[in-house]
Amino acid sequence: MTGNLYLDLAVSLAGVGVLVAVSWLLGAWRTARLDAAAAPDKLAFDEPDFLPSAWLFDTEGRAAAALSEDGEEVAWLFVVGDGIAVRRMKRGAAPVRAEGESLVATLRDPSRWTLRLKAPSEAEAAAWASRLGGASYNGNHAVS
Amino acid sequence: MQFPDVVTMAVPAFVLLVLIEMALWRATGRGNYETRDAAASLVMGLGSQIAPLFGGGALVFAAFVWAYEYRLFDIPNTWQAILLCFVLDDLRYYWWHRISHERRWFWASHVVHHSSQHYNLTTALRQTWTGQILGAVLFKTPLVFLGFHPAMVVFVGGLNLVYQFWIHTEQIGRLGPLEWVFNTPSHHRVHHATNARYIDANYGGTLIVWDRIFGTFVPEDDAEKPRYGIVKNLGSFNPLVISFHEWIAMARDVLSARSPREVLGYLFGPPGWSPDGSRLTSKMIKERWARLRAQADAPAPKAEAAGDDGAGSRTSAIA
Repeated sequence: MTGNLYLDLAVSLAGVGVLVAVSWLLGAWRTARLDAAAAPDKLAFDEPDFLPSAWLFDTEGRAAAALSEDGEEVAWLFVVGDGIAVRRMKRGAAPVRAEGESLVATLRDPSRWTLRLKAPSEAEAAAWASRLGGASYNGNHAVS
Repeated sequence: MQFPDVVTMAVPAFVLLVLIEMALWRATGRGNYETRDAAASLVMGLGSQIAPLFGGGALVFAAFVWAYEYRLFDIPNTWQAILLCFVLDDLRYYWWHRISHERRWFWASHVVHHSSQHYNLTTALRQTWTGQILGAVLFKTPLVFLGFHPAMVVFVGGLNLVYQFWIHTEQIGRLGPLEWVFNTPSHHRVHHATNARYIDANYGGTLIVWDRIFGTFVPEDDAEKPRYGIVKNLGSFNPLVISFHEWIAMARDVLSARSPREVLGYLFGPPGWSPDGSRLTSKMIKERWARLRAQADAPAPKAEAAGDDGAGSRTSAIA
């Protein structure tokens, strides 16, 4: 290094830029897809004692939500690059609302404050908002 | 004796080796890269070199000067002294590293290094912006106080850091007898894994013998591939989030504490500690894993075995 802070910083940034560009050119910009295969596998690894009774998958594969067998807990899964993150919490701990066909959960996580899932329809979004976040949900109801 | 800045000298080699590893990944399919993840790691590495300029470096320097003023012995700058200093520094590293995993205050800084779901040479560069000051003052100053010259302590610390770069790779398998003494890619893959059986193991820097001595060594099992990251993986590649998310979470917990005991627990308890046990520490994760494994291994009652098994119940109700 040269000893000149600004020059060293510029050279370092250029080096970072080159490495990032090369990784992109090599096809490393990839995004995972959360589906009926990937989501249960990741949930089983991260939270092996969480037994899901029902799943909602984002129609674009960016996120998913699972309700536990006893209806007391919700697992939120979301894509981070080609990886997946999981947040397990008591049902109702994250406020959930329906916005058209989307379900919006406020996770309050420092790295992902809100999570948006696109449901197949407005009706399903509203139903899932009630199931996953609403206090009115009866955990004994069958979840399709 | 002049002590070179080995970390700065090694930077061109770091860049070259990352390029080679990327090419190997594409050519062989071994290992993994994701552009945004690599970019975040590289920016964190760059930031970790700049962060000490905001006063922390001066604080460490002052601590070293003060300790050297009151040193116990006059240790000459010889090769033998450098070797001894290197080994002692590696022992220092082991305990600093172990505490960084076992106490949340230190984990809040160190979590940065583990926050990637990938394990490649850029992960080695994903370093904290906030942890170097306290780590250096608390754990390196005793070496200076013993009588090792501050420049020597910085030098051997740099050597240790450079050594640890190349072990962050999936390109290298096992290295025969070297695995007994040295930290290797295989040992360090275990350290970065979130598999319950691998959590909180292999803290060594250059030498793995410390883990063998202090009972924290876990070998890589070919039957269980490491899955990298942290127990609650981050939802962002933003370097500010990566750097400060655990500090923010800790501050929120402290603000919600209802007693001094809870404050202390949130600050200095193990990561995952909570007053009511509703979150999971590493110990609890391992206990859960052992319990579930025992349940899985136990012979199932005939009536249940006929109609249901654990895997089936996990996935059969997918809507």
